[in-house]
Amino acid sequence: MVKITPEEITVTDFAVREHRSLWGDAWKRLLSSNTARLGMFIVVLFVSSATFSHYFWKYEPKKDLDYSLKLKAPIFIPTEEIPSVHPFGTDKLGRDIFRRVVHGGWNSLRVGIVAVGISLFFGGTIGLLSGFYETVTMTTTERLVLFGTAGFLMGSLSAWIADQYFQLILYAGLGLAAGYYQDLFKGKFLRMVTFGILGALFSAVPGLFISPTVAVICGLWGLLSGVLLSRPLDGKFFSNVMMRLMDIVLSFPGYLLAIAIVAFLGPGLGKGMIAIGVVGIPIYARLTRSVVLAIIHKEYILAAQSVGESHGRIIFRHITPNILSPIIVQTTMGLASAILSAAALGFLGLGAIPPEPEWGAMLGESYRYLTSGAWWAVMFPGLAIMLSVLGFNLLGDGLRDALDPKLRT
Amino acid sequence: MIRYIFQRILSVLPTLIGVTFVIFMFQRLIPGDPAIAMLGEHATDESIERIREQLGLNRPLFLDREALVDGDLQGFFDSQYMRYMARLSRLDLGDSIHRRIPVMETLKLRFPATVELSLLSMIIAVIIGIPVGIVSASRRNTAIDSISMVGSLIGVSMPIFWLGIMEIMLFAVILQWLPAGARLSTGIEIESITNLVLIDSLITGNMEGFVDAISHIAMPAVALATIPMGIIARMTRSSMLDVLQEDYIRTAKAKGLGGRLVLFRHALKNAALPVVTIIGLQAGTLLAGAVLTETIFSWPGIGRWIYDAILGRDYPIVQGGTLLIAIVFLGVNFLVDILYALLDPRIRYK
Amino acid sequence: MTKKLFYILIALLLFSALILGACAKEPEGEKIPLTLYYMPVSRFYYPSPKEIAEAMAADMANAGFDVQLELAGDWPTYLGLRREGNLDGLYMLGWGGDNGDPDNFLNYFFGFSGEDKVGDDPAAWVKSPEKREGWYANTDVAYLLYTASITPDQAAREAMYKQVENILHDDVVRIWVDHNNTPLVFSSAVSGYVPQPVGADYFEGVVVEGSDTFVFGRGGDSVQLDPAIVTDGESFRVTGQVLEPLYQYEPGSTKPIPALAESCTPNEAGTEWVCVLRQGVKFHDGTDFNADAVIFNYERQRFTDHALHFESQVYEYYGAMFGGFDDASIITVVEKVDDYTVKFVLSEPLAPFLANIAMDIFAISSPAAMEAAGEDYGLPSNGAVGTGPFKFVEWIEGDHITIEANADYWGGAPAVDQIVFRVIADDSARFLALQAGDIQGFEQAVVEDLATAEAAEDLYVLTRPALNTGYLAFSYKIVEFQDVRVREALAHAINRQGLVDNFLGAYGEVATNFLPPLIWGHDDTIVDWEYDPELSKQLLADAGFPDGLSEVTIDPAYVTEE
Repeated sequence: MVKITPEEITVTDFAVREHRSLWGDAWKRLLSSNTARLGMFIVVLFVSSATFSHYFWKYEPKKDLDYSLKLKAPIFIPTEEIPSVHPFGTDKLGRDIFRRVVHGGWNSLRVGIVAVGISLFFGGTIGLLSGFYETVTMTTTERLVLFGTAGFLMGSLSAWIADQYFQLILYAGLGLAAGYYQDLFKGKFLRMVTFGILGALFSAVPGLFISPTVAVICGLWGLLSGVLLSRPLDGKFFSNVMMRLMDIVLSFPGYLLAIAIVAFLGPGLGKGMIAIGVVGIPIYARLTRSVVLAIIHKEYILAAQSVGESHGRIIFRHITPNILSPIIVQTTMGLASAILSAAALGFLGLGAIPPEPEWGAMLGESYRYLTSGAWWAVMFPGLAIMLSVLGFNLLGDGLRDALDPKLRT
Repeated sequence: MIRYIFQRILSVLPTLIGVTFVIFMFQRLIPGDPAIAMLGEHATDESIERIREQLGLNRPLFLDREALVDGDLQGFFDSQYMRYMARLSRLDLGDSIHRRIPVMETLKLRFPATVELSLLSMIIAVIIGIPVGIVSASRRNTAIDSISMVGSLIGVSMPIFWLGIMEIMLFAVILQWLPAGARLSTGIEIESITNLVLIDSLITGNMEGFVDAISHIAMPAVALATIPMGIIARMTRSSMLDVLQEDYIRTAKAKGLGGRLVLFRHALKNAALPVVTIIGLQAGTLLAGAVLTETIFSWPGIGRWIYDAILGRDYPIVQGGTLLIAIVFLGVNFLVDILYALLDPRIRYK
Repeated sequence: MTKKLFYILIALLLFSALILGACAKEPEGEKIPLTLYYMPVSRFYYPSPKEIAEAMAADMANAGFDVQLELAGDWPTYLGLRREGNLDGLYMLGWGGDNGDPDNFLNYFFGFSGEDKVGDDPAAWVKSPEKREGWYANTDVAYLLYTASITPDQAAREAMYKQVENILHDDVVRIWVDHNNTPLVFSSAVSGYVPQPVGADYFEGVVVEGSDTFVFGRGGDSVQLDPAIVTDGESFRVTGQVLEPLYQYEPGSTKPIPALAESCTPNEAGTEWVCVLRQGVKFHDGTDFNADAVIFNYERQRFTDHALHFESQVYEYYGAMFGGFDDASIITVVEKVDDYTVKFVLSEPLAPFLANIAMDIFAISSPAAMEAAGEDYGLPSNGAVGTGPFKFVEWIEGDHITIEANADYWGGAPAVDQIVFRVIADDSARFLALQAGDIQGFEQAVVEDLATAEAAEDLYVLTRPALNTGYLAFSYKIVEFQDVRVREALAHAINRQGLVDNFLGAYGEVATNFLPPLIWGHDDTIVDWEYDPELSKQLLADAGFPDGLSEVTIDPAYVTEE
């Protein structure tokens, strides 16, 4: 049994409980947790030191070089030999590691935030739409958009083969028609035949102007597209396709995919952000979809539907606010893992462009001096990575406890 | 049950095809010409052209629309992707570009090294992670709980390349207890049966080899185990807590059953489901982490090999290696799904 | 509903505009950032290229050059971009001598290429900048180098090479940075290792106390074991033990001495060389070494239609050393005089002929083995078959190569039974492996580790004499770099002494010539560019950039159509 301490009783005593919002409640709970406070402290420390140093403690990495300070151990009191203070020591080029670690934080945090932003935006949108339309019937407009896009996409193959890009319009039109006349003919079979023939005609006839074989192939493709479009595609179909795509991305181990993407784009902070962001999309898509599915049958959603609110309004006004808490938790934790991945890329030499300070790159550059005893050059950048990641993880953990009403005691 | 397995296989297939597609694509998207990579910097344009032809690189990626316009139907489908798929269906992963060794052969040599490392890491992670989680759950909100949970969170937050370097510093540079890299010392020979040196040395009774292998694998395995260990400990704890709040546990306790009995007999069994899932998902983490661990410890596995191949534009290696990793990942999760269904019959009927 | 569709359309349009904008190519003649390309791998002349680039960039920044560092891809990609003249800016590179002749340094970079040699009168040849490294073309230099290569008199040649060095220096064609005496670290149980200034090191004299196996650690794997088609030192390190050329370099020097040939003597004009071969030598596969084997090996490299001269293989050195293939080859005939005598007939005198044939590239492989292996000769599945002191045993890609002693070696069986070449990519990991006793020697260490090794009782350091030069090159495609004052400003901006002290320690020295001091033709009288940021700023201001240089222009005249 869970022990209830006297303080907790006062908190949950409804008679004396003042009125607070959900978020206020969560905030209170967050502050009451030791680990969350620790996490918050670390995060605030890193964010503020990075921000302040970026704006108020000028550092020009491009000009930083002092051979006389090569690989000095941490020094706190200036001596005659070394007239400056280096709490974390210096690296091979005589650069102050403390300074580089602090400024490196700016880069690492930026990568984390932008990468998570990319994953969250695309993943969240995909998840939200998949989850929503998986259960809610589409309106005619939405169905038309879906069918139109499907037609357009299918048409791109035929249009490319025949090198006639107006076919795209024909296919999109076919899709729209199929979406609009979904109830045409009672029998499925007849509809299938109709759209199949239409599709075949749409692409075979223009294809004839190129060559007979092109016409045959395009015709076959058109037939196939028409048949597929004649089927009652709906949100479930969309959701299925999306989730399969996410499965594919997920089946590659994260780093390898990110490495491949960076190898394609070339190294650099911005490219690292994109790579890490793309790799993270499926996590957010799956999570969002599952939380949407969990609340979609709640009364307030049904109520909103029954009074005829538009789908966009339901998604933005009713669903989004109510799925925020798990997303916030995941985002916080996602920041942690994005920082970790960015550091890994930097370590492999695929991160920030030198001499820009970046934790992983600093580690990768200095670990060859380990055998000569320069432990500080790898110790401190690594600690910075570990602590900042830990901070976000602790905070995320605390947020989960604070935001998840199930765990309320 | 068989029907369920069949359904699962059917749903994995499109993913697999998608995976081959993506693998094929990102190889071709990486800049740099494999023909130039193969011939070196001083190759003439003609010989580059000829090699491109030999490798089929002059074929279009997916479909050849020009061939079709000329009425050549076979040429239309004779593309790099189709050739790649045709080879795949014969289990032929091609030869590496630089040294022309069949990728399959090198995989057979190197994959066991990665498997051995990952398996040992997983064993370490499970052996430590699960008990820590159970203890934390049963002593909820005590100091032990807080310490082990912060500890496991540190594990989750660990940059494994950094941990590996720190291990080397401590055990190889300062204490000089353990070797800093490789799989075996030079001169140690272990007859290969399974290609997992730990097991082979035990089977053949080669104790010297076993000790040598253990001393080499210890550091990378611990480094690789930290993240899964943390995740497993946390998952075990939370799923135990969920179960402990269920009615049947309360009932069991109300019946007067002892705390330990309830914990192991009733709670653990039911808490196992999510833990099993998370262990399956960690297979991916381990294989991905192998790139970094293998780099630091000069471990002759496939992670580092693939990484080098990406930078060296050795497409067949990247394709073969990544495909294998993806298949292993999908396979492990497929098995987890099946296991899940066995443990929880409700899933089969959903 | 129409409104929504409208918004969606607008969004799609914006999106595609964005993508199109991102894909649009910059027009030619456009400003690009001043870029310094750094090497993706470490080489003995640049042991830690990324950090060295950072240091150079910092020096330049302090003199007013705002340089952007860039990694252009892996090593083959980098070399390919250099060859095509597409490293638009500054770039790091270096050269390690192959045969100790100045020709091997200078002519390779600054001489006429095959396409330049139009017509029969060399004085009328014009060196074209097209696709030459750095787009630098100087016909006078190329002509001097050509003349030197056909002059038999060494003193006259030396004068010409010194003249070339002076032109290159006054013109600031490249910034010569360093020469490095490459360190090799050994366990004190090992003795008898001889580092060679050029060519593969000698392993046959190695003795390991208490062991019959010598394990050597190295940074990378061999590319191939067919020496005719490779250019990297890690391949030659192994082939040099398994195969032998007609001549080889004297241990510890660059002087050619007889190996498979007992002697090679030229005629008066220097156009014919008669080589008397060693008798009774057998290849590892049991076949005889004789004149036919020599002719087979040379013809196979020369004739592009030879049955074993494959399309996929590049015989880079043959072309560079002997003027080209087929009819362009300076060696016009390799004639069999009798079973153990061959005659090389040359189209023109070739001063460095002996130094050339002593290169590992021209080592003699067993024709029978080559025919049996076909295109796969030299690959891990076959290895190499020659006459050398060691035989190929196995090659586990990326891990190790094993060779074993050849008991029947004509020079006497080597002291160790087996040599294992192990790949350990990281410099400090190799040092750890040596300390742990996993390997008994390795090449190229972090300079800080060398101090440890020198102090340790159970380790010692040997050096390979510095026959290499690390340099910083300009692309003459950049308009700003066409002004000698800008190039000179850069030369004065970089603290090369600091760089050498920091990264090479006592093993390195600052380069003043392209030719290292150990090679004749090096000119001691050249006054080096001094490290002087103020002078550098002044020169830059004189050139019209008082506020420094951060963006440069690509000369449209140098842009070739793709």
